[in-house]
Amino acid sequence: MTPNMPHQPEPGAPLLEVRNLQKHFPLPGGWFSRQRRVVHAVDEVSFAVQRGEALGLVGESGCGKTTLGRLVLRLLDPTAGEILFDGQPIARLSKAALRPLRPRMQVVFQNPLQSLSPRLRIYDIVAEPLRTHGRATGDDLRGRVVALLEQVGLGAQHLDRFPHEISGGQCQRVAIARALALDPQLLVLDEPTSALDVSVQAQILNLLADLRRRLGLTYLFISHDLSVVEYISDRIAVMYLGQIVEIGPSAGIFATPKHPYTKALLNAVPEPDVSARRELVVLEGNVPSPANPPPGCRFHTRCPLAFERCAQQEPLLQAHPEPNWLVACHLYEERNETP
Amino acid sequence: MTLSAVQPAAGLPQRPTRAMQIWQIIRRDPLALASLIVITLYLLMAIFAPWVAPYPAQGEGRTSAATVMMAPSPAHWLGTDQLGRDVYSRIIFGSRPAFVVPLLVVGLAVLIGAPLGAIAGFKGGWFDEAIMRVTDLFLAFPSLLLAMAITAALGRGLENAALALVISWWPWYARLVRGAALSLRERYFVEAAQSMGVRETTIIARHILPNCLSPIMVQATVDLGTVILAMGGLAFIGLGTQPPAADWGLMISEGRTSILESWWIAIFPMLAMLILVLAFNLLGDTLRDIFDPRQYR
Amino acid sequence: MSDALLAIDNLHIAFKTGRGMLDAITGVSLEVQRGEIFGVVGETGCGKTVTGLSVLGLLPKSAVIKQGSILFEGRNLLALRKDEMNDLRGRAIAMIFQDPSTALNPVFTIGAQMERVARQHLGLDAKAARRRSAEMLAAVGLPDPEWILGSYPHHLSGGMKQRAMIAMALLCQPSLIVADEPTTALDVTIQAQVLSLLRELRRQFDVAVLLITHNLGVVAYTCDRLAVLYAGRVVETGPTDAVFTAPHHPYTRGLLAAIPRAGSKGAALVAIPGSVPANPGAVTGCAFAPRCAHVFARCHTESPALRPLTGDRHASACFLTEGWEGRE
Repeated sequence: MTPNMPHQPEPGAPLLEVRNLQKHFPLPGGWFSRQRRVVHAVDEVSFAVQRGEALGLVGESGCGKTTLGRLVLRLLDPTAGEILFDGQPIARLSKAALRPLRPRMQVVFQNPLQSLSPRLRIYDIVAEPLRTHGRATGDDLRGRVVALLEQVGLGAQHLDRFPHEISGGQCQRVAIARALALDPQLLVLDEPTSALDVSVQAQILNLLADLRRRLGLTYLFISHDLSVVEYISDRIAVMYLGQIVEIGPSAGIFATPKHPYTKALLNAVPEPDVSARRELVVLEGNVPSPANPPPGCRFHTRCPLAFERCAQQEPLLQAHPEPNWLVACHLYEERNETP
Repeated sequence: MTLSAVQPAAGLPQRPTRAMQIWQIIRRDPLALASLIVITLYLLMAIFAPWVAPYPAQGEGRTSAATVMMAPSPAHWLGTDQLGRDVYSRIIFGSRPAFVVPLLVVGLAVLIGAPLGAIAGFKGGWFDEAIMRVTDLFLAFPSLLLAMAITAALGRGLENAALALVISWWPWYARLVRGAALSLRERYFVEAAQSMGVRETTIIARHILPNCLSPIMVQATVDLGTVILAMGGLAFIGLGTQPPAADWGLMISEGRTSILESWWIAIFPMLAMLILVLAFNLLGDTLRDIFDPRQYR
Repeated sequence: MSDALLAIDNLHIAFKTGRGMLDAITGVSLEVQRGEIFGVVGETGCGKTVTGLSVLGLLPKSAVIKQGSILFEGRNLLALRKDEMNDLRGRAIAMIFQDPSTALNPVFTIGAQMERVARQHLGLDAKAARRRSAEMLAAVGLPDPEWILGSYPHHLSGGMKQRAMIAMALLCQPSLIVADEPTTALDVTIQAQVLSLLRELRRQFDVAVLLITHNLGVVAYTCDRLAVLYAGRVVETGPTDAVFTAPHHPYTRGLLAAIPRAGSKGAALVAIPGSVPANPGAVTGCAFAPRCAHVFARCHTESPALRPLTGDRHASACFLTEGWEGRE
């Protein structure tokens, strides 16, 4: 099954490219079971992220977005497929070969308090990446740590504190400062604001948007919160049960979603807005188990527009309507004139 | 949006000094406070034994035929034993090995067991298998038989008894730390360190082991008491401290035969042991709180 | 209003901590009418969960109720004896928790847990209890109730567990359900299912719901009226339509401006500077003053009371209400 690679609108190679990426987790089966049951966490995923772009990855639990984030960072090893970072294949590199590449791709996690080592002071937490890669020592090190903290809105007065002594929002700022310490090109953000209050979330989102502009960073922004993703991303990829069902410009997708799942997802979010009080479009049924995905299109069991073909054949990601906007749905294949 | 528009984080609360906070934690729990006082008294007793004991020479072993098996009296507060030595002085001198040996044994057991457990838990795979099977092997040895075997090979004495105890004890810490490491390795801050390219040994030393300190602390303080009891047991059967040195276990053993007539020879050392072990146990929880940075706000 | 189902009046609750008394709520008053869905919304530390737990008498031992009353159907819940409260709990007032995985006992089947409630409060025998449990499971839209009764919680998905918990809450036809963040742990599409279900059940069973959440979208969709809590106080309350179309209190306005809205890319998020005060009880004046863009001198010395804005019980605790013309 060859993927339909998106047409690159701009010259220059993408910073991150993923081709036919697959991650299957084996389920502990009995010794005597014939077939090893497998969780299809990520299945045949392909996309590219341009330099300086922010790609949002959305989906509900079990869709594979978190696994995808970890695969890109090589915190997990893919079962199959290729990952190209700045043109270099990294999917099968050894840990030792990866080490010099690590500074270029960093991560910010969901739970700020838990992503900081509880027994280390803020200074040591932010200094760790610099120490690990021998970037600075002594006074120089201290200066750089303070500069990093100031960049995220903290200061020298926080150096001596422990993570539990500062608020969740401040912890997340420390996590961002630590991620920026090695001047990365790519930042993978895995639900960075989900554990924060609304007002703090706004502060962090503003900070992230500002940092991206100033430092020319590339973001892979993973979240289940659609509005947050839309705020920060240029393009969005919607995932369902381990596959990308729609990927395209975020403004476009939010205005006119194409894939039935995207539509359902957008319509299911209750907006803090009573003027346009619509009924929530309730998508029936539960998400099927990733260990046992439905045949054909994985969404067909819950899709209000499903027809015969959907249960038999898996739809491919195809460009519709523009080259930069792909949808995996038979509805659009039918209408598509080009073979 | 310029940097000046980036919302700065809020200010920080004031905090009292570390010493003040330790004192506050201890003060909250009257039992812990009592335990701390008891342990301190015992410690002072051990350090200043020659000056505190009314009959220091007897404490160290000098016999006195004239004062054999005397009941408690103003001259000898806790009576004398079958060799005429003042029981009170013997107890004071006996507190020395009672401190040194447990600290040594538990300290060494932690130093050996904790890193092994952390490596096993964090790395998993065959590291885990190998280390855990070795641990199982050592756990299967009855410590008493091991002590006897070592003594038979290396001779009697306190050092060899301590060695036997260390060998019996370290597997428990390996198990304990392995369990803690297993849950810690799933935490985000470990993944963050991995994403930075921190080497595995550094992750274990810097992120895993320090966060295992709490369960280690609790176990270690209780173990201090258990080691005292184990020492007592070994001394009772003739291993461990050799006469004429003062040792509570030895004293109980020696006073065993005359327990009905001269009860004071065995009972007082037993009480001394009980109180110290109890104090260590009660202090265990509070010590864990002291070592947990999250208690400090 | 004496015919309100639930009337919380000037409630003050504090917690005994190692560092002295920490105030959780300082003067919360609100009323829930029969059959109404009332939202209590606020961020971390505002006291909304404490308020909910106090209605059910489930506060931890370290909680001290310093002042105030909670009237349920005219009776003061705070003055009840333990056994009287036990009788009410589950029968007249029920609770739904945030995480169904931890709220349901993992070692008992759903059926066993539901039947125990039915037998204790309704005095039914085993067969009747089972039948009623199955009826309730069907009422909340769960397929194959018999199978669910025999299942353990870990056999069910998050959404199904939450529905089962709602069914359990409805077993005795309570007049009030306290729901503490019932959809926070659920996926968006499942959340939509559960919220629709709550609205439908309210219609069908005429049960009032005290819905505690931090999500303003959920409140806008589900609630008839709401109260916004900040640092242990109610800062704004009123009908959902009124509060969302014309929010008055600067905190409410700040919250609404800080939420990213789908389809409005480019519009900057206005963050509220600063953070929540650590000890609300120690604050003199308005708790929000240090973060407020409209602050003036009086805000630092006096604490504003809830003052009505327009005729339909829309009230705001802010000195800016003086001079409020009742404009939209």
